[in-house]
Amino acid sequence: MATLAALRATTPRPLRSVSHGVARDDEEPVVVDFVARRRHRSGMDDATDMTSARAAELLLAVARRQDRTAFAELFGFFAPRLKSQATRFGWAPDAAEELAQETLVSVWRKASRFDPARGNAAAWIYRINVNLRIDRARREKRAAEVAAYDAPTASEAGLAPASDGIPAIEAMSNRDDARLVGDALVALPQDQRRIVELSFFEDLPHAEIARRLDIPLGTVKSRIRLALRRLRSLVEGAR
Amino acid sequence: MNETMLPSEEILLKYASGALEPGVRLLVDAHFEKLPEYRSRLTPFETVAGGLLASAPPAAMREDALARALAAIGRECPDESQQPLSFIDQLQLGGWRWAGPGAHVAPVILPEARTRLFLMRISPGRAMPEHGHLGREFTVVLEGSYRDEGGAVAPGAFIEQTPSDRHKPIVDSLVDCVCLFALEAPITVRGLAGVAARWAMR
Repeated sequence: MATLAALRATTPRPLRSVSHGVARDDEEPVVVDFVARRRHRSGMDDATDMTSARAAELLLAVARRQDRTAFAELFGFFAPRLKSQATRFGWAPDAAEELAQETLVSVWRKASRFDPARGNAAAWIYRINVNLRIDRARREKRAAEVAAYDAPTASEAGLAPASDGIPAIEAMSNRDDARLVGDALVALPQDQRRIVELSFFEDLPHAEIARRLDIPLGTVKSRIRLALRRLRSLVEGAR
Repeated sequence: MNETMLPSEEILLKYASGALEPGVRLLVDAHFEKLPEYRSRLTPFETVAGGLLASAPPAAMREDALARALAAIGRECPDESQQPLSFIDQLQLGGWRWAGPGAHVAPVILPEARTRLFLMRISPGRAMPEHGHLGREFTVVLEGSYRDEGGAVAPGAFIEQTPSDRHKPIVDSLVDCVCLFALEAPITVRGLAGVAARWAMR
């Protein structure tokens, strides 16, 4: 008699991402393992030890020696994360993956232009991605970066994936700049964090922000200004 | 340049994240081209964007994703060293129209924009048509300068105005003042010059 477990073990599952690194309650652990195995085979390790220093080191290796192993490590860490970020800005998965590809190819070509004194590697790589997203949207003559108000992948997912509103700091502990940003976000009061998140992922009219957060329209502008001023000083102050 | 003539931090955050509406983004690009010393205002927001990228959950990719990237980097690489055209030369414009005494307006063609974009050229000593507006209005000065209640406004200045702001700028430079506007809603313009401007910007 075929058991359900035996069936699950033999039935191939479609490739799917794991939300925020944690299996959802309704998923079997075998799905997490499956995804992890697939990622590992294709070279996409979770690379939890990718720090800012490591990324800068890899960029340098690419710039100086055209080091393909270094490139592969950068690709393995950043490409999947560029893809997931792009989907939060409304890009379909295939297009988001193409953009991630183009971004890393551009990183290879421009690696010698990276200047660690002017900012961290993740910020530099992200900026390349933003410019490619803009160009692509322009070429496709579509309304760029339109995150539909109902899109579940947009700011609903939030900066704070855990239900209690605090980002998974532990998961970020090995990524120094991610932790810097995570610490800064945690230091903000919840209402400020939420408004920063809405501002980051969508270009919403203040009336819409007021509606979503259920706050008076007149308070939106000042709350954003206060939150960003605070965020800026936390991010700058920690350096 | 005082803060009221620089993009707000809200705009800088969205510029860094990539979420900023494309028309307003164009104006901010112009602002940074004219005033590159203010690019450093972006740094903390780019750090935030980088931090969010580094902590984002990795999406599943195709099995051959890395192989494809390696193949792409092995191919001939395009020449990326050409000097870019000046900002104004890169803009795609519709026809210039008369918009009142000493004033001409041309629509800027940017299909992905959700704001209406216009280039406006005003002769020295002339006032821009006095107008209020229904939505937010963004302006960046490309050439020349003007003076309004807030003081002197020079190239690179980036102004955001809400419907409650009333302005009556007068061009005080020796050359024509050229500005790029992004409007969130049609402007309301008073007087005969207003009729001309409204017609020109229809």
